[in-house]
Amino acid sequence: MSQVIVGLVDYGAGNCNSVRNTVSKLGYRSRLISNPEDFDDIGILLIPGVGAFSSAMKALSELELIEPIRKFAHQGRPVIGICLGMQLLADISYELGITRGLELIPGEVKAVSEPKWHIGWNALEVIKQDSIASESNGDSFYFNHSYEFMAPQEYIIGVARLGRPVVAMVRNKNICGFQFHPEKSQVAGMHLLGRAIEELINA
Amino acid sequence: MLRKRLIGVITILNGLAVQSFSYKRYLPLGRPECIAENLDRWGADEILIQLIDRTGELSSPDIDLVKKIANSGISTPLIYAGGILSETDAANVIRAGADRICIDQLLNTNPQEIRNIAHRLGAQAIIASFPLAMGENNKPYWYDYRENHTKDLNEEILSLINDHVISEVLLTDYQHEGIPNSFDFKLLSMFSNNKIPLILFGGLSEQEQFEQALLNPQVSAVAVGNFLNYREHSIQLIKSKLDVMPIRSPFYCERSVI
Repeated sequence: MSQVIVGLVDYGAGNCNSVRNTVSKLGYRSRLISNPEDFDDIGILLIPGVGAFSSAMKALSELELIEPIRKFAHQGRPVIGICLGMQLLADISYELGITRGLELIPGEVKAVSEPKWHIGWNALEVIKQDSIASESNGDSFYFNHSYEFMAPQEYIIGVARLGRPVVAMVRNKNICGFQFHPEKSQVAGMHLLGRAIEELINA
Repeated sequence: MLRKRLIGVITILNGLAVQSFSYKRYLPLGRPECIAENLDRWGADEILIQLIDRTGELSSPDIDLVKKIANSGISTPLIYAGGILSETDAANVIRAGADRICIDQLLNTNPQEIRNIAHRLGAQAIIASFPLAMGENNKPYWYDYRENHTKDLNEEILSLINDHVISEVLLTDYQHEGIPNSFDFKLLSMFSNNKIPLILFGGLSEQEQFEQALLNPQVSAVAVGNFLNYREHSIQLIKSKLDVMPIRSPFYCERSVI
């Protein structure tokens, strides 16, 4: 068992337990983070999430977690966002009104258009050489979202094809986001999440 | 490329996984979490747990069961059906570990509440379940098993579909559920005027019917229950026979992969 503690941001939007189980299988200890005092000895922060962007940011605000997460990331410590958690890394979302995000990776979150959602297993197409993603190029992962992260090209690591490319993975140095659910993507997801945690904590 | 899915279905009655035959006769299979672990190990694309006793006094979701299955170590997306009657129920099921929910009773009793659920969780999380049966005039009808009568889709239901409040329809051939190779494709005409993606369930067991389903552009997934429990690695075996279909390839692995 690794000495690194993985912090899981627990703000009531989605299911920390699945991510926690995967983290445990990968050999890491984890802690649920739901107040600003929980960050001290965390080696890496994971932000899971299911649901609406505005509700999630409201919950983070009420728990006074927004500034501690930003501070953690700005210190160069590693952060991984998953699904809605990746979208929360953006500057702004247009889901159910306009809501500011964590502003850790430039970009906007807008509705998926035609089809209206992206549900199921899709291949990750790595478009930029990346130590975390490259080994997973072509692997299938589970997507389940109706809004998407529109990021500047320099931050896009991988896309999935939905007739057109949909951003599947973004990275800004120590901050990384997966639009899909690695914790729900069986072996491929375990390998990618394991590599992401290892790479980021050793970077 | 987005793949079509093979969904493993676990039907649960009184806390026990059962084989069901047209929802009239049942044989016990065992603990649901054990069946879920098999489906996960075999590489199902999603797992649907449907609790068929969550009506009347029990009309609320079985949160403890969702937690038990979600925390059993599976890494396959989980869909929950059974007793979801409110936005709070739906949110609790997701919080307990399900990735998506399947709505049934609310379609009959309170369609407006489904809009509230979509507002909170997003349409991608919502599947609407329609048990269908063929009428005497060779026309499909929506079967209300609580009232034991058939009916047409009404305007309110159609608006849920057209307004993108739900992301997929679980189309169940109610009469042929549990009977091998018997799915009636004429039932699809119920939704042929809508663009809603369909998950087909009930009597699909053989390669020819799987291929017919998966080649239909409106079909996003096929769901299989009873027929997966007859042999080891049944998901991989079905997938290996469908290797030219747009589905995720089968894989074999041990439980501890890391």
